[in-house]
Amino acid sequence: MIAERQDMKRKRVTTKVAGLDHPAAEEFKPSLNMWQRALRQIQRDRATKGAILVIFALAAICFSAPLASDIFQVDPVTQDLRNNYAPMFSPGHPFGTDELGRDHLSRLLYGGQVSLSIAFAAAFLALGIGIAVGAFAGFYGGPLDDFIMWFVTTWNSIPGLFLLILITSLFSATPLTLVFILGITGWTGTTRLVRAETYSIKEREYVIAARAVGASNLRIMFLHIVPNVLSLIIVDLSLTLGALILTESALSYLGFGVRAPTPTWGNMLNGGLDYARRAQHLVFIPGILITLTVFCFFLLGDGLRDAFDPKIAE
Amino acid sequence: MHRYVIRRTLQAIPTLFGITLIVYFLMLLAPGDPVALLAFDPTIRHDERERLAKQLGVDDPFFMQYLRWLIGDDWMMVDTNLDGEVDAWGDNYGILRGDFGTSFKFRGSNPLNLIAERLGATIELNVLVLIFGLTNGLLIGVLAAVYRGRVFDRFTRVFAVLGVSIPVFFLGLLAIIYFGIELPRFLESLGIGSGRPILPMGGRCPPVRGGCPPIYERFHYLILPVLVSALGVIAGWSRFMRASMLDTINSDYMRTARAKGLSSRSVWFRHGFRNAILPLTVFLGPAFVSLIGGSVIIERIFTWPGLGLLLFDALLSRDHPVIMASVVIGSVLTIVGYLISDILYALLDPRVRY
Repeated sequence: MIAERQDMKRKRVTTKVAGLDHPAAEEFKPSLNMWQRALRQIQRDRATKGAILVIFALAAICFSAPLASDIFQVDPVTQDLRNNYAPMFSPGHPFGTDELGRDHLSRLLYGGQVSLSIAFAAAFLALGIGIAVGAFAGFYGGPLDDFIMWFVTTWNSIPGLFLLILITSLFSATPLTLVFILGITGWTGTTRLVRAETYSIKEREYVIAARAVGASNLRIMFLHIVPNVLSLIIVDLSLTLGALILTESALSYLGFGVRAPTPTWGNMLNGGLDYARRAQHLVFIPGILITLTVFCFFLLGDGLRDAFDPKIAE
Repeated sequence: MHRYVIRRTLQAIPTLFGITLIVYFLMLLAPGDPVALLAFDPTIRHDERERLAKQLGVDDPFFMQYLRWLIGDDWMMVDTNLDGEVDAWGDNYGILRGDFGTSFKFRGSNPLNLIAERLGATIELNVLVLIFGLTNGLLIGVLAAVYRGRVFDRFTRVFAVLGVSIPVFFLGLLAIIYFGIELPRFLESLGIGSGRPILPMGGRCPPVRGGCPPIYERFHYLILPVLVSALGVIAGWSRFMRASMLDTINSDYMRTARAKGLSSRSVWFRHGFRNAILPLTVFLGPAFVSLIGGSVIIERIFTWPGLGLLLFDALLSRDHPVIMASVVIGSVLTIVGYLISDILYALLDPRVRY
């Protein structure tokens, strides 16, 4: 859709120039917009491309868990206490079993689904709240802004994990409640970012022009200002995703996250010290998967920041 | 300067007020009957229960309960025998005067005393983490800036992203597996040692009566927690320092220093380093704050008897006064951390005048 429109724009421009009958007209190329330039930058950046690839591969593997369950005839909840702590590559269980004899491979895959889904949903919720609150605070300023900033400062002054384990201990966490809890505790960073940008953007000419033609405040905020912060928000999304996977796994490790029998990569490490003695792959594999996923999201965030940075020359 | 410090300190008051409001509100949402928690007695009669509820004031409106918790009720007459008339002065001093009630679990003890016992351990650990993390992180950052684009720089870049990606609890488990199990096992197979862990796997000191010996006698207890916790600090600060260092490179005083023929070590460390480190002081507060938040995890892995472990245990045993006290004190530490780093920045950088 967007590509089509771009295409039409380009055609229109070229025909107009061609109409001038100038010899250079054939070589005329319209300048790239922000998204095209960013895309081009990413195409050159091998680390970022690798990170995207790994994230997609991990997600694809995790979400094909039913397939793997079919192939190996295993599922993540059936217990087999006579066959617990089975080592890697044991018959029927390619990744061994945990302390209750549950198949480790299918728990890893289903756990990955849960961890990734929670992180994505919570990140979108947090960013949604953060963008809306930040845009309002920055656009209206005054007492509303003062109140919001007081709240943000206060919220940030409670040590993050203290607040999270306090809240999750009050409501027994299911994946859905965890999404809400992570969402409503994690929006303050985005708010600060969007507020600061809104403050400077609202004085620009195009915003004044929009106001002059009679656009409402809401329209100006969400159709003229927010789209111009979008590149920052996309970078923020990637970093937030990484941070949320870390937070979720830490909560689950402490036992305040998603409860058993639902697996997540974090609560699979819950019995960490017992595993350390008896079956170390039960520690290594989920830990490495968390690290790898977070690593890729952070790398992607870095790459996107560079890609959107107008100071980095082509 | 004094005026700035005073103003900045006054700004912390509304924040502190907001924290008490949030914490109290959250605890009101807690499931479970406070009467049942305080007087756990299944045989309690219904009218007896109502009497207790009235005495505790749990039926009062939110704002009254909050106010009583915040400033106490010893300044007003309360109804103790429930005949509908006030008859005695209250005996609750409120948290502003350090009265968080009494712990449910450790009967009769003031939560603040419990925290005071633990706070030293948390601060000791995190200050050491900051010192170790900052010295290494800053050094790596400077070297990465000096050798930018070369192997060292590229290596530390990957290391930095990896360092903030690896979950602290996973790193802690790896450290325990390696130093507690694998390395001793390997050494034993070589005929060295007895196969016992070469470093203590947890705790702050050997279990002895009368508290822990001075820090230099139990340094080996600190090694693993500090190393594990400091990795994230090193990773983050090496990047901050590199970026800040590269910002200063193009400034005039650096060019002057180079032009007058100073050795490159002098240029980098005396002129570059000192100026590059200035803007980083504002990150000091957030760094300390995230360490306080992360103390729950690191203290849980290494059973370090600090504030985080106290909160963790209190949450498991639903010890409400201790939970509230820990969160409030943790937040006070956070506020003080931000305050110190802001004031430090104003002190160090003569250009900053508020």
